[in-house]
Amino acid sequence: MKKISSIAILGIILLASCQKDFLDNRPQQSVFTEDVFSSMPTARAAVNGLYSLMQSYSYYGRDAMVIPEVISDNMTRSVRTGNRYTGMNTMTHTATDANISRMWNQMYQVVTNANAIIANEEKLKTIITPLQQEEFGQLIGEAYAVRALAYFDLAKFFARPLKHTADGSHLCVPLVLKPITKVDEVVYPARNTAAEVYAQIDKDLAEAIKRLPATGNVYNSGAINNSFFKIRMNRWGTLALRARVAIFKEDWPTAVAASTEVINSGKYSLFTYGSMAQDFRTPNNNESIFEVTNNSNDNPGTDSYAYLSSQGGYGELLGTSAAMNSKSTGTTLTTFKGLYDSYTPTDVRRQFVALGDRNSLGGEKNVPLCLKYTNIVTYLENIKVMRIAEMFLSRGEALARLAVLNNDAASLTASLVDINRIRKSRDTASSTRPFAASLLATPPTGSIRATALLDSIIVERRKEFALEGQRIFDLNRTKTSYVKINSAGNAASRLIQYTATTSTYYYRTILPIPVTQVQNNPKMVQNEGF
Amino acid sequence: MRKKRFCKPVMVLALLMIGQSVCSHVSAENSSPFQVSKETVQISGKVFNAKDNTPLENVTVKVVGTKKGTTTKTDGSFSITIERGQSLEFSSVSMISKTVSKPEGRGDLVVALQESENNLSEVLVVAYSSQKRSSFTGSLSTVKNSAIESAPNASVQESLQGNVSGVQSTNGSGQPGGVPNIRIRGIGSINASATPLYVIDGIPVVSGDISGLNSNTIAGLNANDIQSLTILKDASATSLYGSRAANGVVLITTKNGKPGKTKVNLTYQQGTNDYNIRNEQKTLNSAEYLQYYKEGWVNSGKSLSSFDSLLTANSISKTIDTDWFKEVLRQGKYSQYNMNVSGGNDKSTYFISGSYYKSEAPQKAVDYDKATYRMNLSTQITNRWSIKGGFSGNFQRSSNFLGGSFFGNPIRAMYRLAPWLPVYKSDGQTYDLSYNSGYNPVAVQETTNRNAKTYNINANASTSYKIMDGLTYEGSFALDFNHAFRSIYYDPRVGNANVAVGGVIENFTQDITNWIATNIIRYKKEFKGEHSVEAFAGYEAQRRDDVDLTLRVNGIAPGTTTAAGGSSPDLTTGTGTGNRLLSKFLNTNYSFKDRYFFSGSVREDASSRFAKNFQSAVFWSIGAGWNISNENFFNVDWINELKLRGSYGYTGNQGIDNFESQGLYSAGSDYNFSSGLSISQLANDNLTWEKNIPLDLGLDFALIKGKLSGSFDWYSRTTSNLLVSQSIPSVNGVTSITVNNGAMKNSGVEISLSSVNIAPSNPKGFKWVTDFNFTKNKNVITKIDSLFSNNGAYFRRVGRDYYTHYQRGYAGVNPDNGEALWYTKDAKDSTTNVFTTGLPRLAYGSALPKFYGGLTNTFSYNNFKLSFQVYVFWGNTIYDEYGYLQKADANPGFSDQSNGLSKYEYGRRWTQPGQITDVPKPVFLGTQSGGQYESSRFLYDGSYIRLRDVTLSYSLPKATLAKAKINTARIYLRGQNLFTYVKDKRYNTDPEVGIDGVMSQRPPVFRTFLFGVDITL
Repeated sequence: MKKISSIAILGIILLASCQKDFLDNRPQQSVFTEDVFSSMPTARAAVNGLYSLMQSYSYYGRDAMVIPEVISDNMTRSVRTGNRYTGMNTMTHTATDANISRMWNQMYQVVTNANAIIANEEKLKTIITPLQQEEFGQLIGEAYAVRALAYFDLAKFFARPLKHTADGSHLCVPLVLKPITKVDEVVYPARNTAAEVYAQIDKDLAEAIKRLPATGNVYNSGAINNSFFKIRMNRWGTLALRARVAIFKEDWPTAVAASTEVINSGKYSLFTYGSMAQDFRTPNNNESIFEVTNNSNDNPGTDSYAYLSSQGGYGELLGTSAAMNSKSTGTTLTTFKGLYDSYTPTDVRRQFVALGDRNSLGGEKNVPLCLKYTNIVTYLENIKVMRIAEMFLSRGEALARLAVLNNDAASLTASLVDINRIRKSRDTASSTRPFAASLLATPPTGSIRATALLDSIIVERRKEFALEGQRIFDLNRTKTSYVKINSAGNAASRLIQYTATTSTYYYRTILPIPVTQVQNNPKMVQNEGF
Repeated sequence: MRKKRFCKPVMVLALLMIGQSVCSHVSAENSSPFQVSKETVQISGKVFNAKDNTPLENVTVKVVGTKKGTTTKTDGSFSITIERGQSLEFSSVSMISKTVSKPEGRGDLVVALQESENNLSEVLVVAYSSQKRSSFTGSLSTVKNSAIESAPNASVQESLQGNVSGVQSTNGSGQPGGVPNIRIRGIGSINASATPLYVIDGIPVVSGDISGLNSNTIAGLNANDIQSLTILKDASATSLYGSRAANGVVLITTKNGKPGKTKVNLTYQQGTNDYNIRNEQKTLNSAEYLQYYKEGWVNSGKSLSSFDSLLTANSISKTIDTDWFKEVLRQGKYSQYNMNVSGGNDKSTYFISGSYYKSEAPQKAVDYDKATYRMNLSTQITNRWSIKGGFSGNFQRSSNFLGGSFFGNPIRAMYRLAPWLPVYKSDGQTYDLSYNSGYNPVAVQETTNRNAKTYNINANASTSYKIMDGLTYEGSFALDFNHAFRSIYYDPRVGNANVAVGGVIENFTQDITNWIATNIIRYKKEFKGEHSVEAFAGYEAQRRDDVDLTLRVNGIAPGTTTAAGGSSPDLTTGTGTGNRLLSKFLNTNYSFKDRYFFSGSVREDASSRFAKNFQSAVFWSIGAGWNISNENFFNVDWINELKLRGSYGYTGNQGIDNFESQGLYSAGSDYNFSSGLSISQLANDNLTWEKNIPLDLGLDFALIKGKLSGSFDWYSRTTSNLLVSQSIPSVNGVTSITVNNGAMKNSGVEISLSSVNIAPSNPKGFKWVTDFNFTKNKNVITKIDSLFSNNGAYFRRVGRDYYTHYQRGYAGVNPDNGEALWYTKDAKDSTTNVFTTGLPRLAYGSALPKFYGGLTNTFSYNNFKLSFQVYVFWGNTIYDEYGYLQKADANPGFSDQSNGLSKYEYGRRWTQPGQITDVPKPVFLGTQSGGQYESSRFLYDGSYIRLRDVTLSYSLPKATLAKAKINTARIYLRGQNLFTYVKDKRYNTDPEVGIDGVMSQRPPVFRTFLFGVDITL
C-alpha cells in the first residue's frame, strides 16, 4: 500500500512537472507575430509576403486589371458568362459586390503588412550585420513603395480623382499607418481627404527613394538577385510610380522629372514592332518596370485574368467594337468608338483584341477577344503593372500640358518626340504620319492644336494600355464622358457623362465602399450615390 | 526538440502502477476472515441471460439490506453465504435487476435476467464509469442495439435519427459514408464547433471529415460491434468531459465476449438504393422547355413567328430530348457482411469481428465501401488484477464528385442542363463538350476519379487493480490513428479548366495521431447499508497531431493516374498542427437509502489552444435525484417507479483552431519561389472557453407494471462567452478576429416513452410495443455586443434564432399580368413590381425545426416480427441556394444551364390574366421577375414525415435449426426511407438537408431496400 501511494504521489509530481512543456504547442506553418522581425529570414519573408498579396485575383492577379476596363468603354461581357462583374458591366454595381469588397480587403492587407515592416525598422536595425545595410534599406524602402502603390490604387478605385475638388478636400480612403497585431489595437478610422491621402503617398515615395539602393539592385535572400529586379519595387519602379501619381495629381513637372529618371536609367527599352504581341506576355521583358510574378506555385487557375479572357477558359471578357454600338437603341451614342476600332489595321496592338468567335454555344461571333493574357496552362505571364511605354506617354502628356499651360513651344516639341516614339514603334503605317502639333489657334496644315494633342495622347494611352487596368482612371482624371457597352449581344449601351453628376451612372465610375466596411465601422461614410 | 518531447511520465506512471500491482496483490488477498453469527445458508447457482441462455459474468449478487455481496464468474456461477431469511439482488449492466427473496440453500439457484429497456435498474455507461439509472442524476439517452445493428446506414450516427430524443441528426447529402450533422440539444455555438464529442471505449476519438471528400471517420465503426450507445446531454452527464462537453457527448462501448461456448454471429444483407424523386419534381423535357421559352419570347414583346429563327440563331435543336436525370442517376446496390466470434472462460474473454459494407449511391459512380476489424480481449490475472485490450482497424473508401456550384457536379448538371443538349455528338459515341464549360456530366462521371481512402487504427489497453476493498486503480492508454488519402483525377479532355491545363492529378494525405493516457482511482463504500458513496479521481493527458501533404500536377500523360504522370507541378504544400489537453477530474456520487441521490463533479482542463493566461479552467456540475417510489409513504399501485432529478453545471467548448488566440504570420505567401509570410491573425490575449451552463429537470417513470415507461426532461442551456469570429474593418489587415462575445440559449422539452401495448400470455403470442420520442428545442440569440457578419442566407439578430433566413421578400405573382411582386417593408404589407437588388431583406422562418420525433411500432407474433418507424421533422425552412440560377424565368435568354423549373412549377406558371399562382411568367431576357437573384421565392417549408424504417423478419424454428447445428437464424426484409411526405409541393428534392437548411445541388438522401439474414452458430 505504501509503495503504491508513494508511486502515485511521485507520478502526480511528474505529471505536474510535465504540464508546462506539454502545453507549449507551436504552430508549424505560421510564425508568431512577435518573432517575425527578430530575424532576417523572417523579415525578408514578410517583404515577399507583400508581393504575394498583390498576386491575388482580388488585386493585380485579376480584379484590379479587369474592373477599370469592364467599367469603361474598353471591355464588355459576353452573353455567355458567369456572374463576374455583372454590376460593373451595366454600371449598376452596388456596395454588396463581393469582388469590390475582396479588392478593398486585399489592398488594405498589403497596406497593413507594409505598416508592420515600416514600424519594425528600428527593431530590425539592431539585428542586421554591416554587410546587410543595403539590403535592409531595400526591405524598408520597398515597404514604403508598396504602401504608396496600395494607397494610390485604393484612392483611384474608391474615391474621386484628386482634382475633383480644387483643394482635394473630398473624401478618399482611411489612412492607417500603424501596425495592428492584437485585437485591442483594432481601429475604426474615418476616411481621410484626397489631399491627405495623396500627401501620404508622396511622403511614402520619398521615404522609399531615400532607402532603396541607388543602383536599383534588388536583393533576395541576402544577395543581389537579378531575377527579382522587375518583380519587386526598386528605385526605378518607385520613380515610375511617382510619375504615375504625379500625372493624377496634375503635378506635371514632377511627372516629367520622375519619368525622365526612369527613362535615363537605361534599364528599359520599348518592344520592337514585330515582337510586341509575343514579348508583352513574356515575364521580365524589356519594357517591364514592375510586374507581379506568377508561377506554378501561385497558379490562380480558373480565377485568373487569363482564364477569364481566354476562349479556352471562361472567355467571357470581350473587347468593345463599333459594331456592338450599332445594335444600340440609344440616339446619343454615336460618338462611341470601340476599342477595336481605335486601332489602325497595321497597329501591332490590335492583335491584343483580334476578332474571333466566342467559344460557347450561342456565343457571339466575330467580336474582339481579350488577348493580353492568354496562358491558361502555366499562367507564366507576370501581370505587368508599369512599363517604360507609360513613362514616355506620361512624360509626353506632362510636357504637352505644360506647353499648353505655359504656352511653351519647347515643351510641345519634346512632348511630340515622346508620343511619336510610341506611335512609331507600334504602327508601321503611322510612322509615316507622326503627330505634329502647334500652339497656334489655327495650326499649320498637317498639324493639330496642342489641346487636340492632349486628347490624342489619352487615346494613345487607351490603345497602349488597353486591358491593363488603366482606362477608367484616365477617363476619370480627365473628366471625360464615354459610352458603355453593357453586353456584347444584348445591344444595350449607355452614355456615361462625367459632368452629369445627377446621373446614377456618373456615380458608378468609381466603386462604392464595401457595405461591410460601412456596417462595421460607424465612422465610414459611403460614396455618393451608393 | 522541445515541441516534440513526448510527455512520458503519464505513461510511465501507468506502467509503474501495473507493475506495482503485481507485486502487492498477493498480500492483500483473502484478508477478511470468515465470520459466522446467525444461522447461515450457503447459496450457489448460476445467472443466465433470459434472452439466449448464455451465462452472465460480473453480475453483482448483493445481500439485500447489507453491504455484502459477490459477483458471478465467467461461467455465470456464484456462491455466497447469507443469513437465513435474507434476500439476494442480482444486477448487471443493461439487465433488469432481479431480487430472489429468501432463497433456501437447496440445489443450485438458477437466475435468468432480462435485458433492460429504459428502466431504473438499467445500468448505464456514463463518463469514465457506469451507473444504475436509478442513482443517476443526469440526463442521457441510450439507443437500443436493435436500432443500430444491421441498419443499412454507413455510420452509426445516421441511426440516431428518430431513435433518440434531444439529438438532431441530419444527413447533409445522400453520399454514403458522408458526415451527418449531429446536434445535441440545439445549436450551442456560432463559430466554435457545435458537434458532440465522440468517445469510443473511453477514447475521445477524431471525428469528422479528414480526407476533404466528405468522408466520416465515425462511419468506420462497425455498428454491429456496438454494445451500447449513450448520448450524454446535461451537466451531470457531460461535465466530466470538461472543455469538450458543451455540445454533448456520444459514448460508445464495443462488445466483449462472454464466458461460455464460443458464439458465432453471421449477418448478410443485400439490397438496392434508389432516389425518391417523383416525376413532377423533375425538370422540363424539350417540348415543355421550348413551350416555356416560346411564351417567354412572346412575353418579351416579340412575335411568335420569329421564335423559330431564334432557335436556329442559338443553335437549339428541337429534336434532341435528353433526360439528364436518367443520365446521372442509377439504381445503386447495397450489401453488408458481418461476422463476429465471441466467447471465453472464467478468466478471459474475447470478441473478434470483421465486416464488409458496400453501398452505391443511386447516382452513377458515387460509391462507398468499408471493411472493419475488431478484437477485444480481457483477462483476469488475479482476483484483484485484470487487464483489457482492444484493437480495431477499419478502411473506408468513397468516391464522389465536386459539389455545389461546380460545373463538374453531375447533380447540378442534372437539374440545370437544358434538355436540348445532346450527350454525344452526332456520331453517337463522342462526348459533346460544347456546353456547360465542357463538363458534360456523362463524360464527367465516366472519366473523373475522386477517391478518398481513410484508415483508422485504434489500440487501447487498460488495467484495473483492486488495491483494497472499495479502492481500485485503473490506468489506460489508447492510440487513435487516422490516415486519409485523397486522389483526384480530372481527365485532360473533359471540362474547359482541365483541358486548359492538360488534366489534373491531385493527391492529398493526412495523418492524425491522437493519444490519450488516463489514470483513475476509484473508491466505493457503503455505510450501514444506508449510505453509499462512490467517487473517482483521475488524471488525463491527450495530445493530437495532424500532418498533411498536398500535391497537384497538370499535363497528364494519357493512361497515367499517379502524380508521376503529370508534366508540370501545380501545387505542393503541407501543413502540420496539433493540440494538447491536460486534465484532472473528480466525481462523487452519494446516495441515501436508495432514495436520495447527490452527485458532483469537477474537472480542470488546461488547453494549448487558449491564451497563456486562460489556458486552465475548472468545470463542474451538481445533481440530485429523488426516487419517490422507494419512499415508504409512496404506495400507488400503478406507479412502479418514479424518480425526479435535476442537474446544473458549467461545461466548456474549446472547438476552435489550434492557434486561434495567437498573433500569426502564415506561410504560403511565397513569391517567385521565395518564401513569404503575411499577417493572418491578430492576437487575442484574453481568448478563453465558451461557457456553457446547462440546467436539466427530469422525471423517470414506469407505470402499470412497467408496461409504460419513459422520461420527461425540461432543459435550458445558455452559452455565453461565445467564441465568435467578429468582423472588423479590413483596414486592420484582417477581416475578422476571434473573440468571446455574445450569448445564446437553447431550451426545450424531451419526451421518450416505451409502451407494451399488448403483452402476450406466452412467448409466441402477439406482442405490440411502441417506442416514441419527441424533441422540441428553441434556440435564441440573447446577446450580441457587436456586429457579426451576415452570412449568406442568414442574419444573426438578438431575439431570433441562429438559423433565421433573411431574404428579399417575394410576394407572389400579380394575377393581372404575371409579374412578380416584392415586399418593400418588414411588415410585408406593401409590394412593388420593380425588382432591385436593394430590396430589403426580411426575416423568414428558421432552418431549425419546431419539433422532431420518432415513433416505432413493433409487432411480433410467433416467429414473425414487424417493426416500422415514422420520423417527423416539422416547422423548418429550407433555402435552395442555387434556385435563383436554376429558375431564372428565361431571363438569361437561352442558356445551357438554367433548366431548373420543375414540372410541378411549369404546370403552375402564369399564362393568363386572372390566374392566381406563385410562378411568374417567363420573359426572355427580362429582369422584372428578379429571376437571377436570390429571394424568398426559393425558401421552402421543410416539414416532412417519413416512413424511415420498416423491417419484417422471420425467425426460423429452433427445431429445424438444431439439425443444422445453428442456434438462431432470422431472415428479414428491411426498407429505409420508403415513403416521404413533404409538406411543400414546390420543393423538388429530398427534404433532408444539412443542419443549416440549405439545399445545395447535393445528391439527395435515398431509399434502401434490402434482404437480410442473421445467423448465430
